[in-house]
Amino acid sequence: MIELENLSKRYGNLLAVDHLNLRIPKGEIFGFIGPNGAGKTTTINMVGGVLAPTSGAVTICGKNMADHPEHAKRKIGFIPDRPYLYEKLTGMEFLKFMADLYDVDEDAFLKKSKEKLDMFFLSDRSNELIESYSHGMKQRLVMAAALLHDPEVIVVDEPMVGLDPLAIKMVKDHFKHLANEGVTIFMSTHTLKVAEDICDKIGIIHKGTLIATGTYEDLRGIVATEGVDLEQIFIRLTET
Amino acid sequence: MKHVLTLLRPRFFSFKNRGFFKNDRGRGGKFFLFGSIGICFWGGIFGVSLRVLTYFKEISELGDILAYKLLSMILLTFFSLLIFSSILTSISKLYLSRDLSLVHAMPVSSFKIFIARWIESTLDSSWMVVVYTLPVFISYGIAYQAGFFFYWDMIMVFLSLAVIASSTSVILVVLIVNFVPASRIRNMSIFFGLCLFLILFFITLVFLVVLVVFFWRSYEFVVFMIWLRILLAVVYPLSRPVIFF
Repeated sequence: MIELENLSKRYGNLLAVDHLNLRIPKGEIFGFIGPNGAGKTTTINMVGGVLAPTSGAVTICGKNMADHPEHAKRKIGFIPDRPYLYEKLTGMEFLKFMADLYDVDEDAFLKKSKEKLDMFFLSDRSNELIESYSHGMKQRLVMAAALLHDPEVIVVDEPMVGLDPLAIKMVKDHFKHLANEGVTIFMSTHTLKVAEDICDKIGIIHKGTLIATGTYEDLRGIVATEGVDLEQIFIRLTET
Repeated sequence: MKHVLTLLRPRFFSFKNRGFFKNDRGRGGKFFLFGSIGICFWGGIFGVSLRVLTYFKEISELGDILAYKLLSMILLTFFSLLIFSSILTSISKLYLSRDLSLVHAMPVSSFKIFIARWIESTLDSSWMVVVYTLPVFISYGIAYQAGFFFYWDMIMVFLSLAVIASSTSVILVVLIVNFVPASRIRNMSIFFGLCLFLILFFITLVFLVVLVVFFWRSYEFVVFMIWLRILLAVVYPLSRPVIFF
């Protein structure tokens, strides 16, 4: 479960995120959409514990990020939009590095790493240097690493960028499967079709403020038009 | 400690994998070329230092003083270089490194991340300075027929100076970054470092010219030598200095 309470982030004179309040219950996929510079990545980074908010609080499964950052982060699988990978490490070495930081024991690591590498079609390249991987492979490796410790919450920024259609379908199916098992997913995306397909609820952020939130049907009700898709809802709400 | 070592692991694995995965064509050639230049440079420093110190030893009275003064200058230069190098490295490691967002998303305390970064910064900033100062100190050892403990002390002094320089630099960087952005500090450090180097270079040059052209074998030089002998004369407590000309 994720709770954001009056979350704000200020960069000098710019208020990137303005008193954001959200509560995402266990097992829900929440899609966070908004135009460029709306504050999506800043929010994602605050939820992931990478950025400290100017004010407000982030609580992950009952653990306050400011008071217990290590406990809160242990519950998260964080997938940034432009992940940094150590290019001179092999895929397997990177997974081991991540597993050790999350204190995954050796037996569990062997089992989980094989399972995730198979799932993300990386098994046959796991002993090659990451620098030889394509962008999509790197993205899949980051996802595999983020899921190694069985997180209760997944925080993901632009998950489908660089993935081929097969991988997109696999990721979507896997996210739905994880949500059914009780994992909470907080996902920022520009791909409205993905949000429409898999998200239980959608939040639209514009100029740092959450301007609308709810199910697809709720959002349709806000614009008071029948038969519109998410793209049209998004444009109507953010063009003002 | 386990997490600190884990955070250092990508660095060592990267180093290991550079040798293991030889998929870079011409890598052997580059390694040979730069390795040879490095060894020649190291040998050159050693040869010149040994020659200078052997020459100093042959000059009665003044030789030891010159060797001592040279040692002071080398230590000062060594420490200044370590500080300068540590400032640049610690800015990069603590504030500008591209993997910071990755490690800060991990369930590891900021203190452990800081310690791992500091160790990495200390190693990165000091290894080259230490390697290229070693031949000078080895020359001292050979010229003055030093025993085993001189070399042991030398390693310990290098280690201590590297840690002191790195710690001082990190404290400075952490304080300054509150007022000036990290990327600007790096550019400023490079600029001021270059200016300082040029100033020191010209001061040394002027000093040598003055010493050689105007001072050497003059009456003032004899007076200077007498003054030095007075300074270096052993004076016991409760005794009055007695000067013999």
